[in-house]
Amino acid sequence: MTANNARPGLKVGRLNEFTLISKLKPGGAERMRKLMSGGFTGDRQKNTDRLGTVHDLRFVIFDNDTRVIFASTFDGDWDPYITDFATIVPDEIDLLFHEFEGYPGIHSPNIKDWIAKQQVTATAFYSAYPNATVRDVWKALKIKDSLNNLLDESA
Amino acid sequence: MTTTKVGNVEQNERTAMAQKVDTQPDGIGLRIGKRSEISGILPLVPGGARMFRERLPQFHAEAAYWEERVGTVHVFHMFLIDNDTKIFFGVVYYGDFKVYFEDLANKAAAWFDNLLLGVMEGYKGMNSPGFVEWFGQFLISAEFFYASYPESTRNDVKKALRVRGAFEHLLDEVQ
Repeated sequence: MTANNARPGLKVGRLNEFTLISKLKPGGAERMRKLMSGGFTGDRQKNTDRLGTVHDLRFVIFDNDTRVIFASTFDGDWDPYITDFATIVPDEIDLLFHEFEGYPGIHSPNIKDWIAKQQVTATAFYSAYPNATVRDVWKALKIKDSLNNLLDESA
Repeated sequence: MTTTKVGNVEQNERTAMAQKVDTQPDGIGLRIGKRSEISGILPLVPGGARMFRERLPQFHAEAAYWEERVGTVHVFHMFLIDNDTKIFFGVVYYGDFKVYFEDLANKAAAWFDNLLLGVMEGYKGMNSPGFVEWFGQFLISAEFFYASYPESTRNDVKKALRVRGAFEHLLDEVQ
């Protein structure tokens, strides 16, 4: 477990943890719940899969609906992770984060500074397969399925 | 594209890959396929953060050992928040809520007790009577959860990675 260069967050193997804690705008919790009630669907789901670097992510609202935590596990380095957000899923990110107090927008020149300011670094971080990226896992699962099918066919 | 709807969601090729997010059937947290999440905010006793930090290196050094015994956790992280007065933790794991806590109590209680006894307010040990009900007051369900391979358990993933390694080794040998 090591610090992720000069950026916040811990790294274990090839995985990073990324967590933001922010105040919500007044009424933001209710609006976020309404927005998120269906999960990621349609193009948002496909676009998040297209990132190909996010193992999991979640939003947790707490403190009587006044604050929110965004937590994710991703592959690679901090700066490309944020850049991918801005280039591949900018609309989804703006939609999901616009209730965070002070959120400047994913295309703002200040976005990385704002994120770094909200980000907290874990004191403990564990992954069961720290050296496998999302794409490694997808590929491994495909190979395993193909081999299983091959064995079934030849049995 | 078709125009049928389920709830407010259009059903078409764009929504065909959508992850179905459910709440845990037997406890707190969200779930997609076999993947579950749980978060919590734990209050610390005065001075608890200092003790927590002192114990962390040992806790972390033993993480792989205990998690291997539990066998269902994909990833977890812990943070000190609010000027070191609370711990926030998040876990992504396989399966049902109650089974997860039973596994923790049966297979990894010593690990958590060594970290949290005397650190977290009111913590009396993972095997103390009524632990899950008491601990439940500190747990929070996410509002939103995404997982990139939700139908695979921790052991599915580990096995697939081993198979992939062996397969690639085999290909290297025959080339």
